[in-house]
Amino acid sequence: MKRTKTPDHLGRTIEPYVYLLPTIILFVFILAIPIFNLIKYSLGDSNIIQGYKEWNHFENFKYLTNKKFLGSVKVTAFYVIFGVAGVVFFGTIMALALDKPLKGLGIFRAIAIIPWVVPQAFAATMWRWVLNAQFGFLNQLLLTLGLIKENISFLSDPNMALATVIVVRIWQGTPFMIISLLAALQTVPEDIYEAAALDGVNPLQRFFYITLPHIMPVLLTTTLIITAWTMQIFDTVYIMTGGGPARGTQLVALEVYAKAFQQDDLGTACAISLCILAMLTILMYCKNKLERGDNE
Amino acid sequence: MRLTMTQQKRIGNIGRYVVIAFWMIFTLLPIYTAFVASLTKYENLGKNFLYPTDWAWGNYAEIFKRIDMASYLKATFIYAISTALINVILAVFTGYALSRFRFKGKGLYSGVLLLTQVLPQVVIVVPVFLMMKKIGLYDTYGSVIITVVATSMAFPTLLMRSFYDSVPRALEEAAYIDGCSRLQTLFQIIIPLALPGIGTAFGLSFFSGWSQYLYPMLLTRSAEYTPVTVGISRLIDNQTPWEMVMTGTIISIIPAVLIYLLVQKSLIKGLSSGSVK
Amino acid sequence: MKKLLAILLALCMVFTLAACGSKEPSTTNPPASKAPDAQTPATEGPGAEPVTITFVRTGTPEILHGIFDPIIEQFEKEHPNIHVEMQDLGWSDATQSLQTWAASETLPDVMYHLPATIFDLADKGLIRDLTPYIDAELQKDMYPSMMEAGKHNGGTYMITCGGSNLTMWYNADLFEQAGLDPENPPKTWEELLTACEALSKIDGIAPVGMYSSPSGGETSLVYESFFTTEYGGSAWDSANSRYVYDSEEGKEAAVNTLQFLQDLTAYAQEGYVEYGRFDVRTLLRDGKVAIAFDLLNMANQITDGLADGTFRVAAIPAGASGIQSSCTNVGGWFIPTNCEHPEEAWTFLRYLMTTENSLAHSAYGSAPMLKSEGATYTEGYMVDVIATMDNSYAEGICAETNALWTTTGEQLQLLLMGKQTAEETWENIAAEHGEVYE
Repeated sequence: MKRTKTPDHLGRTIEPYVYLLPTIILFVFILAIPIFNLIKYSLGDSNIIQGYKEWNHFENFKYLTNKKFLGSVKVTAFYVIFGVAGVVFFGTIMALALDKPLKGLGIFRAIAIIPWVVPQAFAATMWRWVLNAQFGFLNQLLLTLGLIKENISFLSDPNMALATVIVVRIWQGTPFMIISLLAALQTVPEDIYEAAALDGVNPLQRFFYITLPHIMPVLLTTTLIITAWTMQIFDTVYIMTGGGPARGTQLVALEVYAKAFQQDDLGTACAISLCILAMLTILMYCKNKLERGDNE
Repeated sequence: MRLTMTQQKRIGNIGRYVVIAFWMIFTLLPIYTAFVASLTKYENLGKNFLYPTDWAWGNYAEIFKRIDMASYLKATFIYAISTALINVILAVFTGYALSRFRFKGKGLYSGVLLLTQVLPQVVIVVPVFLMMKKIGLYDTYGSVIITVVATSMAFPTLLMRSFYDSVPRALEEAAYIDGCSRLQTLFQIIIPLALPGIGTAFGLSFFSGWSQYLYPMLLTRSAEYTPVTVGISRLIDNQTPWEMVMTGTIISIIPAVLIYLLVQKSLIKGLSSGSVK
Repeated sequence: MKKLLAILLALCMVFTLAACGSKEPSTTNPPASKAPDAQTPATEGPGAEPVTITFVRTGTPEILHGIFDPIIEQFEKEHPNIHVEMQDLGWSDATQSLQTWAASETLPDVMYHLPATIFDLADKGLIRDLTPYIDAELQKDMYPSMMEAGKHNGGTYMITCGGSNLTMWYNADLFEQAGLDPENPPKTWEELLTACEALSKIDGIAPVGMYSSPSGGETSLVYESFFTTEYGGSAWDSANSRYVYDSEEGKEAAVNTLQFLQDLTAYAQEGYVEYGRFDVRTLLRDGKVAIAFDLLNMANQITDGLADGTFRVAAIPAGASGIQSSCTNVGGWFIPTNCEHPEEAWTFLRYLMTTENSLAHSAYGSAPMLKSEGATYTEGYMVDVIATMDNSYAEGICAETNALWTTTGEQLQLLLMGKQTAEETWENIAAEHGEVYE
């Protein structure tokens, strides 16, 4: 690999920075102050309007040990794990299903991306109409078909409500995964499949031994980003359940919102965000480890 | 029992159709509900979602009268296309740098990149707002586009990096030996192979630009810079005309889907030319 | 570990970069639209350059322009030296816009919003005290509870211009079917439960439409309103800026009220836990529930039924005090301290509060603010609504209201789900509110 010769060496050391320069400028320009503020606000008594007011002895971080907050961490863990797993699972299956030529493929693919372009807030309202206990589409349909006798209340029970918002998350997040993987699947060389087919490899083996390794880098990257986004999902859940019933869907992102906007406590909101950040850093570290392991 | 290739394929295709059908139903479930609502009169909202009872197609004309849909759609389109173009151009180079070079601060750079995805918007928006005011970009397309690019470039970059990673280095090495410069190899060898990635990065950035909400709302004031999302959501109140909101939402989905169909076509073209090599 | 260090390093770098650009005191830059007249002193003298004031009424632009464009046109004719520029802001993200503007001190010169936010901004020194501007006529003509609703910490920071109190909306047809007299709706809690029992005999409907989604504000208003009827006084202790129902003195009435609300859920529609106030409106409209407690906004959902007498409105039934009181949920105008032309802004604000203009504004969904305005209604359901206003209290609002509501909403939801008793709910609310008060 190391083919660098001395005259080229200097060029090589500067070159990557040249490529990165525009984005570095952009970061500094747009995100430097917010990142700096995130840390500053988390260290003191802060609110959105006045910003940082005074040092408060890590008071903001004390909330992280509060029972209520730990409850929402548990809810978020379920939400993120199952939400992301669902997105990965269905995203992979759908990408495989939509990969090879098939009649109507273009239309199917186009439909599959729709959830991604529906703004979160409106999507939440649509889902409420699908699921409403009295007049919801699903209840009306099942009732008309005679499949149920009594309406199902999808959002009245904490566990059921959590399951429901996870399903909605999968609905929203999967298109992204499908599109990314569809592109990744194009990079799998066709001839390997043909060779495998001759060897009588069954579809499952083919997927795990040929396809998966090829799409792995994209799959991991997309999963990481989806995880980051899932941790931040706010509108959908807020509108569908408001965090209830009985805090059953009170995600950490909702806590951040409540702290920042409703309780005038930006400091705690930032402290929570910093924790999310720390968690994601660990995840990213794991991802890099995993990738390096693959390459060797 | 052994099945012939065509038999296997046929069974496989039936299986695929079943899976696709299931997913299409799941995807369209809420969209259908929205569609039914969009054909309902305000006073009948919530009565029936099974099928449209009012067939109020007039809503689709009405929405253009009630709010300035045409102008909103134009602004949305401008945000989406600019975001997508800038994102792709940036990602082509940064992804390349991340994939092919070892350099100091690489981990740090990736870290910051990820950081942009977890910063709460609350924290971003106020300082950005103040800065845009100060430099006079407030209430322009520019303010929104710059902010959206900065907050959404992480994925295209990482995606391009993954694609470059999957392009065998041997090809480049061969090109160098042929005397190609680095940029030449990038444009002539690597990018054609990574075209699906570019198409995808473009598509995904386009859609994230398309559904932007908070930044255009806060960083612009004039009606001409208002995108569809913000325009429609202004209807939300304690007596929201939901049928109008859904009509508007359905209308705003259509161009996005059409554009995806277009992008997809060029994506497949890019592919075939790539695989010829 | 290395990665973490790297991140830390990045942050340090950013820190140094940010330090130069971040917290310069945000000099009150005049909004761009005002730049031209920043040079010319804003005197009212003839020939003076007209002053531009920016104006925002949060809500649906299409309807609001219909209401305010003619008013502004007339106003500009009468005051040629003032130009009013109306800007749009929807409710869905009003909070975020407002806070951003407040943080940058670029709030519009005259703006409508909700008292909790206005008082919070007032505490931060961003809102003008309008007390010196208020004239005797306005003082006399406004309903006292409406005037009161704009006061906070000894100042008037908001001129209430929209709102209504909680009332009981019911379906007369269903009442008749159940053998109840629609002319005599329940006046006490016992009568309400009896009526519900009778209504529960009708198939396919629920006697009462309830909502308990945890957003806070909606259910808090119901609790507060019913509490006043049990306690016989306001639920808000404005001297100490806290809820009476959180105190030991209000405990008994509070627990009774909570118990009553929990009892009422026996007659509520299925899945009421997931309902918000808006969803219940459609249930009443469609004849799926017979009674609902709501603000005046209900009227727009059931216009036809109100006109033909199917739907009626009355004061909410009373608890132990025997007084059918309720609480008023309001919004109003304010002028921020960053406004550079307060005189002109007030002139416009005052113009909006004339009988005629207030009446025009009320079309957006509000009870009358002025007595002279109330007098213009001589028939129909509005007369009944206005009658219930006599016993209404201003909803308790302070700078921390949003925080208080968040916990109230959560606790009330647990109560209505039957997950905790009235006593437990009271204790939890009092304890959590106690933390906020500090």
